[in-house]
Amino acid sequence: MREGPATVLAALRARQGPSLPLPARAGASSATEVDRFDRERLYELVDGAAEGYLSHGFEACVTQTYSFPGPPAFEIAAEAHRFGSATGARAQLASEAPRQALPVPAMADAVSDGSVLLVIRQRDLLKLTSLTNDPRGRDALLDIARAWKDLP
Amino acid sequence: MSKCKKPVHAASPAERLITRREAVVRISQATVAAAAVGAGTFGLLDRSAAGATAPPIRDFRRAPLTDKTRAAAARGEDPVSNVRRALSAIGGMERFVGRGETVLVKPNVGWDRLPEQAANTDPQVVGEIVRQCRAAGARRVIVADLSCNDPARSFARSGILAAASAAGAEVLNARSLDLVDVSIAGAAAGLKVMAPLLAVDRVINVPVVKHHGLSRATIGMKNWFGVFGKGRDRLHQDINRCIAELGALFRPTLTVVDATRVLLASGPQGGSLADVKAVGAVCAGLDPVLCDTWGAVQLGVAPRELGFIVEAARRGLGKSDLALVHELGKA
Repeated sequence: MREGPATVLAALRARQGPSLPLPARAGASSATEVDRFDRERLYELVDGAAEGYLSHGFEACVTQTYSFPGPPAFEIAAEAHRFGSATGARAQLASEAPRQALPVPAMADAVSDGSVLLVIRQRDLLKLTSLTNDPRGRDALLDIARAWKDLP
Repeated sequence: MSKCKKPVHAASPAERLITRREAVVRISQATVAAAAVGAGTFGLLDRSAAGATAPPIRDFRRAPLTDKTRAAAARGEDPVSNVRRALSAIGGMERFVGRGETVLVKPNVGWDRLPEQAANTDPQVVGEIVRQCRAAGARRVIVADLSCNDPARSFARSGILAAASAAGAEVLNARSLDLVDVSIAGAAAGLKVMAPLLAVDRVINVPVVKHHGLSRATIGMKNWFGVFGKGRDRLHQDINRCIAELGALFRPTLTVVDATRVLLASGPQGGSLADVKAVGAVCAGLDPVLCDTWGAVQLGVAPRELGFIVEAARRGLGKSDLALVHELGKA
């Protein structure tokens, strides 16, 4: 039986590891290059938090910082982590959710407190951190999260 | 001994970003290449040679440890005032820094985060310490750290590049720091350290108090992780013992603990403003264990519950009796 192109594409993307949406999809530009981390290098990204990720089955991560136009311009740091299972991703979300985080309306498996947004898709966890006090950061978190959820 | 290079500058968006890990990889590659040349002469690689000839970490203490200098804490909304009052209470910076000396100030600049996110030392605290060193007659003040995130972005976003530069310091990060061998025993053996540690007269440790996922808290003794290059992740194994070991290894001139804002959860990198508490306090002292003890309390953690404080006190590296901190109260 032949697989459809969309199925094949999705399978290929899944094998490539976690991914982030192109900045333009969220109305942003790229402030940094895309960086990738495996189990060996994870500590370089999160230092002492690495053990927690590894205990939940962390496999790989991709990071990028998005820049939103001003004035004033502002930035959001994005990390997409892949775990061995959806259970592991959910456990990491539970351990990392900000103390005042609430479910994001109309977005499944997502919590945010306005400065950090965490959302799950299958066995991937997206963590967005606003690097601004600008109130537009809250909307930008949602824009990136929606674009990530819509990735094929 | 390696010289310190030119100060760093904030990266433009278009600039190729060179991270700490890239820097240390390059250094490691250069080291391997140099070792290989040597191996051609001697026929083998002697991995113990560097450690055998490398210098130790010096003892940077200057003033004697007394009840008055052990630690003092000041509170208030102005971090600059808190630094001044805490330092004044233990004798003033001139007691610790001599005229013409070179001083290394080691803040925590681990993360690409805003000051409000409390993952790094407050920039006003760092700036005021630099000013105090200069006023005491320091010829040169270096502010340096080996960040976890991109170093240029971490120094710029934290506000420390601007604050320290404006106060008259040279600011060095992984792009501009050399890493050198030192003679170290214990878990850190074989790790390279930032070169200024071997070149300066005085060292001031300026940690921020915050939550840490592994050790529950990171304060002063844990802040020494930031002087090490590639491979320091191994210090996270048996972390409490390793932190106490670093407390024995590094004997700074002074410790100044920043609790202007305290990250209560999701440390060490944090991000959520809701996890940050405005404490508005600074503690300065000569007893690193007592300074960490004070920091733990600002975080809301009982010092006796922190394994590294218990271990450091057991080793006789300082006192963990909070009553020994001279609390100055609000200005």
